[in-house]
Amino acid sequence: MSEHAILALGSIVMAGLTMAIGAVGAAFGESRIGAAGMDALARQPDESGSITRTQFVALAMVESTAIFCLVIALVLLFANPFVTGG
Amino acid sequence: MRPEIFDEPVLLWLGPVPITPTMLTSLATTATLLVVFGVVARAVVHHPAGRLAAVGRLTHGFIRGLVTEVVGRPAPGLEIFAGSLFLFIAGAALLGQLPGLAAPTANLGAASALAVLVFLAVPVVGIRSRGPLGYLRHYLRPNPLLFPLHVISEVSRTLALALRLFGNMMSGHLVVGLIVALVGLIVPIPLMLLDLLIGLLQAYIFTILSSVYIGAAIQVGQGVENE
Amino acid sequence: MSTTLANFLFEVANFLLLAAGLGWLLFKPVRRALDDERKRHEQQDEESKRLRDEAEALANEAREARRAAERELEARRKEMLAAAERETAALLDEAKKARRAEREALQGELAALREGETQALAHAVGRLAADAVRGLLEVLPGPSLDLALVRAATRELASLPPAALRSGLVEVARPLEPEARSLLGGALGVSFEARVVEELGAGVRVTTSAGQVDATASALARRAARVVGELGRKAPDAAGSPDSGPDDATTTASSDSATSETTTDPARPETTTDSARPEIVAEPSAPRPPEASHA
Repeated sequence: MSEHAILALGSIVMAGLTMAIGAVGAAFGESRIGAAGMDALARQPDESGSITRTQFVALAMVESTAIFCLVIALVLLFANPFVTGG
Repeated sequence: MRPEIFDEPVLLWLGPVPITPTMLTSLATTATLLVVFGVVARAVVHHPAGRLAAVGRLTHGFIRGLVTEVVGRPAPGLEIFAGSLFLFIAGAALLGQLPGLAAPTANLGAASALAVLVFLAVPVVGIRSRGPLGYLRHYLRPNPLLFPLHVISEVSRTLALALRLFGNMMSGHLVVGLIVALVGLIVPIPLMLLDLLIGLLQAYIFTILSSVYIGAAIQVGQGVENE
Repeated sequence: MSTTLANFLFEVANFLLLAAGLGWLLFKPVRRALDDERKRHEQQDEESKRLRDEAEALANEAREARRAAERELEARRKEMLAAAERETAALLDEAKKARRAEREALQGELAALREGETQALAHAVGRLAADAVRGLLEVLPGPSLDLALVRAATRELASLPPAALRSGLVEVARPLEPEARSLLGGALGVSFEARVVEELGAGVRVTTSAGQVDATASALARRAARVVGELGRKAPDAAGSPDSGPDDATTTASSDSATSETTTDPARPETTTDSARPEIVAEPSAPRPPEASHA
């Protein structure tokens, strides 16, 4: 196995692991946000507009961590500076 | 398969300057926004009871409410900056829904350009509201040991802004392209809707975050003045 | 020049251009328009507030005026009410007075009427009684009636002082019988002359300085008429007093003899009427004048 093949294999495996673990964390955080948002909505239905807006913002922020992971994985796959010509 | 995620083809060279599709789409976005909101502004001024005037007022009221809520008081300059950010990102997301076109913010260069502009706007606003020494002193508070942390926080949040915007816009397109390549025509429609929703949401979040950062700089100046 | 750097710089310039254009095209005119509108609204607000203040002032004025008018109305109504009450009270008093006067007049009339009727009735009854007594006495036999009357007179004379009896004047209806004469003489204590007065009807009348003892038929008749008249007059109390004076004056000369007469007369005629019943008719002319004086 050549050095290039080892680097390519490691990059592919790590891209999958990055995506998986990052998605787990983001999913867990988003589930917490959804539960908290529904709890808040049940407690104060009058504030539904403000709660929903804040909830979406928080969801997008948490989602961005998964997006970071996706970007890293894509960099590993397509823009890896150590694997040239891949 | 070699998708063009981090770099893109060059359409033509104007001397030493390459012209890319992102430049064209962003220029189209800018032109469209200017034309549309120029008409809307004229309508607001000349026909205050029309629908276009309502659109203009609602947009203006939305942005002003957002900025005022974040900063705590009306800030007209920040309104223009944050409003332009919101309209540009939202317009880019809408433009990206057109077939054959990608949102200009799905390019890392464009997204990082917006983030860097926010990064630069923070010291500009801070210095203007407090003065150079007053602004620089806030890096040493509450303790001079925290100066590196301040710097890292500013840089990292700029990086996060850029990557968040770029990743969201790009991933939407990527997912839709993958589904289209795998399944067919009808299935990716919900994902396209999600992509559109995420694009508008990212515009809102980008605007709010930049308003928070710049508003924090304004309030830093105020806090020092009050001491 | 790398494409990424060129992209970056182009995007920066593009965004700055967009911000400047939007600020110049959209935000500034819209903000100015909104400011103008707000200013106009404030002006209108002020104007409307001023107008409302004016309207409130006017309303207050009107309220004051209405309150004053209500007060005046109330005062005038009270005044009118008081005047009407006064007038009513005056009218009521007048009516009451008039009614009282009318009632008094009616009462006086009624009393006069009743008195007149009573007197007329009494006179009639008295006349009837006198006629009855006189008729009764005239029916009795003369000597026995005389004797009974004389006996009564002697019983009465015994209560008078003996000194007054000596100069007494004795009048009889007819010449006395011996028995009556002796009885009378015993009572008087001296011999006497009896003057015959036909009008007495029957019996004897002794006039002394201490009083008169009248035991005659005419006196009895008079007496009876008077008693009946008094009885008729006693029923209405008001009319009794004025008639008693003349009645006493006409009957007897002195008060003493009147008392003696009253004590004498009622006992006597009953006994005599019971004992004697012969046919003697005495002349009825003597009792008339007293009755006329009664009327």
